Amino acid sequence: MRENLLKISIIAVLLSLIAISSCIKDITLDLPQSDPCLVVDGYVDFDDYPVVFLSKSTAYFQELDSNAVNDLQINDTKATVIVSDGSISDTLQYLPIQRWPYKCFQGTKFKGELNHRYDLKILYDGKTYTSSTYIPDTIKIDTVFPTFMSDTFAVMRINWRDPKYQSNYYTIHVKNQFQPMYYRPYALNHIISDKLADGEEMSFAMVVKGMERNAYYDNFFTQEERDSFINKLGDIFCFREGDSVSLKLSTIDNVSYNIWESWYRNYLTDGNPFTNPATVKTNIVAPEGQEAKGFWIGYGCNYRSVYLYSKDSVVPIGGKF
Amino acid sequence: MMLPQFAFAQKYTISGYIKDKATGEDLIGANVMVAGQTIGTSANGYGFYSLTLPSGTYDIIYSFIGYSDDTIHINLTSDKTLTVQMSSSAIMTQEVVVSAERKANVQSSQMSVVRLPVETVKTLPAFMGEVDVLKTIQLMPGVQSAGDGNAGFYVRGGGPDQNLILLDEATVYNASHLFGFFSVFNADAVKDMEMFKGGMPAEYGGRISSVLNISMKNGNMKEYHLEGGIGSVSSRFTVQGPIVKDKASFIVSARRTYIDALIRPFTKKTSLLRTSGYYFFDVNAKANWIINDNNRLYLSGYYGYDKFRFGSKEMGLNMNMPWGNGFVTLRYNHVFNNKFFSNTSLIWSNYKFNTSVEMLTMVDENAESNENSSGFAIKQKSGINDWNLKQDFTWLAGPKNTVKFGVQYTHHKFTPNTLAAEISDTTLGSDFSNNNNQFAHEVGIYIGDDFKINDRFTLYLGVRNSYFVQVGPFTRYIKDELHQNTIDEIRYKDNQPVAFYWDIEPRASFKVSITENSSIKASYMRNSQYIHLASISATTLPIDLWVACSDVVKPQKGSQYALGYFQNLFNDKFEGSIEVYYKTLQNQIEYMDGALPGDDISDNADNYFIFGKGYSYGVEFFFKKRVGLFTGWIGYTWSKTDKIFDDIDNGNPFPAKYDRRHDLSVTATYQITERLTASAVFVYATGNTTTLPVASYMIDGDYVNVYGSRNSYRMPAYHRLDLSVTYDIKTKKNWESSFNFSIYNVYNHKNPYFIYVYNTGNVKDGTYKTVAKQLSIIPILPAITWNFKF
Repeated sequence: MRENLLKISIIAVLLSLIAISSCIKDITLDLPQSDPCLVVDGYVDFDDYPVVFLSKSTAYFQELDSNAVNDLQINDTKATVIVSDGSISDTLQYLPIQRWPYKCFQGTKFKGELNHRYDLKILYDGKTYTSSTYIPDTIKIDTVFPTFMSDTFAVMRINWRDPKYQSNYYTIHVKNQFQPMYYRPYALNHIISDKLADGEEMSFAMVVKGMERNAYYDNFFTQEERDSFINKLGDIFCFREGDSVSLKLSTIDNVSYNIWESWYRNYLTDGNPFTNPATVKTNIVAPEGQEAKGFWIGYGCNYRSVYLYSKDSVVPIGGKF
Repeated sequence: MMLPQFAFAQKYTISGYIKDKATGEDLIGANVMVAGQTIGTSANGYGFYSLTLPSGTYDIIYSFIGYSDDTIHINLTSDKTLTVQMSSSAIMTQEVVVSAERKANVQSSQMSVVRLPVETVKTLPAFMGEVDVLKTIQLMPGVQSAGDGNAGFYVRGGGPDQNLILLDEATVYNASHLFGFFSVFNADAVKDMEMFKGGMPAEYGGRISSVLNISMKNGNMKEYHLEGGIGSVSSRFTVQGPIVKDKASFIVSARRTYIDALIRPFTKKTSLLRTSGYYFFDVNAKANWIINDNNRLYLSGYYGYDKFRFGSKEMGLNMNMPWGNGFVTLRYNHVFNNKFFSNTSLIWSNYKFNTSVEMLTMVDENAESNENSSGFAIKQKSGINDWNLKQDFTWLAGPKNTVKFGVQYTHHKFTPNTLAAEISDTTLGSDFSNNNNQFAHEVGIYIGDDFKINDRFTLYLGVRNSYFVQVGPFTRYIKDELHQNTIDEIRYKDNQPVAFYWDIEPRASFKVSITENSSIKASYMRNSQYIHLASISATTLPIDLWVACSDVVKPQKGSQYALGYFQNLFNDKFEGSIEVYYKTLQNQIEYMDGALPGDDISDNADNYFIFGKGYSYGVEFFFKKRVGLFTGWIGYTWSKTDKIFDDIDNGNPFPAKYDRRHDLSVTATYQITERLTASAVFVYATGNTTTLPVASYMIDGDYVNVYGSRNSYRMPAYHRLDLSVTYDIKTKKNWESSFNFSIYNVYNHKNPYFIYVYNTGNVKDGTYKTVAKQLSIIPILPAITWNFKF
């Protein structure tokens, strides 16, 4: 994580140096068109039903008004999503939702179990797409507690002990009472490998509350943001007095870690002229001649929640909410 | 005038040095010709020449660009030592001088060579008034700049690491300041430069594309001089003079930019400009001592660095980024006899790039104490340290035959990215004493013979034998298949061999004269290079990492074939050439997709590399008007450079980032009056390649971009016009000064530095769209510089 900060710092400095005497203008790029392909966003959490969202990819320079967004939705009547735990096959139920990508499929027959493999099969538009994932053992969270940066704003810290003599991979997700779902924290790597700290006490500060990356972009680069950077920073990134905060620590397998890692590299390198862009890996197998994007990941998840009553009083409120 | 040549005629040798009459500087490359014959030679890198002729009476013509020819009548009945002092000539008088020098380009066997007198460089428009030899060399066909803000230059499709840059024989690893805006070579301290784009002689090795050999001035042997320039962003001063007249001299040149100091008083206390800044500084120094006619000592040194500081209290960030080079060279010339010249060099050189970042946890100014705030600091280091010993011999076997041979040894110490971190006074991570340095020995043995078969044919044959061995201590981290985890370590003890490579590198050039004014030349070279520059970005920056060959990284190998036609026109006032080349590059490296600066910390940098090959071919046209009030040249290159990597685009060829279809340079200098000179430079180059997204999708609430094939998008073309005017103020005795006014990028063309793309809005509102922006860095930039000399 410190290394990432160094990377980010170097890049930020180079950019700011160049910006001193630079001129930026809008340009129109003439890029080759690419055909839309199926995008799978699927996961199976420990002790929860499998969930799969389906959508389509789009050409890069396409403005997405409401019509174009409709074009990116899949036709749910043409899709069948089946998850198997090796003995039971569950055809997921179509569940329309009010946000992107609108097409959700959820299981009803079984919940995710630890140390289990789950196979995914999607029949869409006459073609078959497959994938497989694994839920590793959960890891116990030792502590979750806030560190107040000021009277109002706090960051959350999570600690756990990494088991020795095995490769472990983790993701951290976070939410407060207003957020409907768990989000990845911004800026600091939310995926963790024990490659440099096998068997050590793991301790990570969530200086941000869960944040969608584009919300960050939109808010961060306006002039007003810069004017009152500290206040805004607290407001955007920190937890407040009165928040209930829930952290989700998940173990993932090596394949899932590599996918998330490529996602993270893509995130850091995206639009960054100082690197060669990374391609986000996928574990969705498309039929011959077709392409598919996205992933199917099992999470060995564990939750811990606290209520930040005040700077001096923090109340544990158990697990998931 | 000339006696008939007998088969058994006794032969004698004329030898000595060729010098500038006013300053005592050696004239490197000055020509020595026998009047009425095609026999001749030229002075070597130390101004030494030797010419063996049958006994007789001769008129020997000494000539050099910018100097009046000197003809000396000699009666050769014994070996003679003749040190010649030549006078520099005004440009105008050159028209009437019949100079043997002018035929050198068609008559020598060497092709693909660029030689630029510093005086030519000084007449051309300079960026921010700072005369730059590297920038000027990039105006020659076959030598490309990568555009504004790129440090490296590219020769015939080769990468910026494939150029051997020598300053007084010391290797310069980073030849530029401020990301390429300025070169490290202070024109006031430079005497001569010579570049080989192909047909590299055997005495040079270790790089596969080119050699740029720059010699520093020795210092005036006759009298003291102070010269300098005061410009809008930088100033420079040079002091030179005799230590003992005609025996020993010195020169010291220094430069510093002061943009940072100029801006500071005009900024607010809280401004980033006050807490951030950039400057570079360099100094060249040299002393030499003529012990006697046969022995001479030189001591030269360079030290220069760039320092960038970025501080922001609001962001709680303090960052320092210094990088730079230094070297010291001790050289000893010994003339064994009038045919046998030797040079021994001992060189220490060093390159380093450091970064330190201090991150202070945000502090609440109203809080009574901030005990909880634990700041931390990260320090990063990388660099190269070389010790180099060279022994070179020149055997001037006869007027038709020059043999050079020698041996060169280098001890390298490479420091890949090393990181130390401190959190609340506790050091974490690797500390600097325990880093994964790479130690290596490199040896080159060479011999080359330049042989004049007859008046029409000249042949150069050479061979170089190179060896490279990496030795311990060294730790190899073995990664799993996915390059995630270190599954094993191999530890090598001190001096235990880690990797060993060697190569035989043949070199050959051939010239056939068609007429006195035209010739055809061909050359072949094969080179091995034991170091690589791993460039993480689409631009060349100091964060690029030098790495040596190891058990994982194989030596770069290059082969180049070139063919050229050379023609002088109108009594040698014009010269022209056409050269074609084909070049192959083996064992090239690239970072893996998505690798980031700092990935190699606590790891072997080469664990993040992928390997492939490349090729380049092209044709270069060059046409130059050499003398007169109006001088200048046109250089045009058409070329294509592709790379092939198994791990990129499924092994399909993709264009190199510096692949250029068209590259045009035009320079013109016109002497309007004796005091007023105007000059112009125009450049046009096909845009660089880059990789851009072609599709995107949304997953887990985020947009993800899908990138097109590597370097598949070409940026708009780069073009630019620069103008400058130099006015010499009336010269008093011992006092010269001039004003130079220059404008860079006259018509303010927004040349692309890079293109970036991003998304705005969101899908839910129907406001989502993607935007592409082009960033250009140098707008129209006027500069004024006052130069003086007394």
